Amino acid sequence: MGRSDDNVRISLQTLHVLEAFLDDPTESLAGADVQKRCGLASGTLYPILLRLEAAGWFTSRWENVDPSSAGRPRRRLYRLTSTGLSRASEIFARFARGVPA
Amino acid sequence: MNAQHGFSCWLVRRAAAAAPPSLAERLEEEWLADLETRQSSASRLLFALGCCWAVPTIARDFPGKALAASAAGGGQATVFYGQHVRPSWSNRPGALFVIVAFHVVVIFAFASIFNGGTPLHEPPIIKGSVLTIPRPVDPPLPKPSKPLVETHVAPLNLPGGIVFAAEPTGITFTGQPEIRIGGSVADVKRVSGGPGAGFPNAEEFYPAAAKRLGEQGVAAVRVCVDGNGRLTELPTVAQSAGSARLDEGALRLALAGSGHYRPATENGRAVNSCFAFRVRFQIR
Repeated sequence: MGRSDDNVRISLQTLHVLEAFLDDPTESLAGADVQKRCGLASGTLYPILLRLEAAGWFTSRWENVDPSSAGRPRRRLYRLTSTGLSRASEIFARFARGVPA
Repeated sequence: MNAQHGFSCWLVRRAAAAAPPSLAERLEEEWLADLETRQSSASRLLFALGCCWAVPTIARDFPGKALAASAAGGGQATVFYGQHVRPSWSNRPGALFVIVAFHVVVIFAFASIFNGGTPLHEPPIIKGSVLTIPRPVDPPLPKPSKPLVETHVAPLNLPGGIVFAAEPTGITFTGQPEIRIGGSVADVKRVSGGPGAGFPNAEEFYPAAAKRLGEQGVAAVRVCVDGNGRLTELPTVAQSAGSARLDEGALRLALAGSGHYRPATENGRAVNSCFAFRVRFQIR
């Protein structure tokens, strides 16, 4: 744990976040959705999402809704990039072989 | 929107405002949107506190870095973040203090509820003192006009107030103590029990080793028997013969005599009783 991978610190919490996205790599998830899946606190989750986005593993966009008509703010949706998918798959494959990330 | 929800929103806005300036607007909208998905007030409050907790980490992770962020319309854009100056209020100790204070309030509320709704308070100090209770003085017993207990034989003083007579001769048992309890309440004629017909011969229980050593003596054995002359508990040595071997022989004799004791009687009716008898071991 804690080993750098493309300047991304792979911690146990980071693995939980990646695992939440690997259920359906094409799915776009808001922070609240990820939090429900992996159970991390917001204080831990959002720095990880931003860190993975900065590393190019995630891409993010605003939800396509009008806040005034929806009556709520837009959600920020995250999705795995091809880089993130290959890196995450590689990391979990290493784990499956018993090799630390 | 209740006050607690408003407080959570306020916390989220303050946390986002403390984030790096280029991220502040995005984080505020993102966090407020995610806050809306929370159902309970406690969950919203924890979420908001978590956002406060995340700000210093985000500020540390993105000093002067470029983050590819999307524009509002969904297009790609590159946002550069400068060196973030951490505001004094949003540091981790501050968030930690808020969390601890929240827990203290919750614990205090629960403690007050389980304490019957009254606030916690110090228990009253109990002052004690030693009281001297005067011991009641028993009034002197009236001297009876005639003795309550009459025996026809010389009593044997044994522990526990047991009175038995019949000094045995040799190793046999004799004597029928008769006790008459008189008075104004009841007139009970009581006859104490003792070894009865068919009682084993004590000679057979004279320990051989004691005989060889020339040990002789008299042991007093206490037994408790029922109305049929059977032992109701194990016999005990009331008075030693001066030799453990002789005492053991006397006990074995008393045990073997179960069913052959003459029970005590009250007005002619057999009753349970405890009494003592002597066993003399004498070499002839």
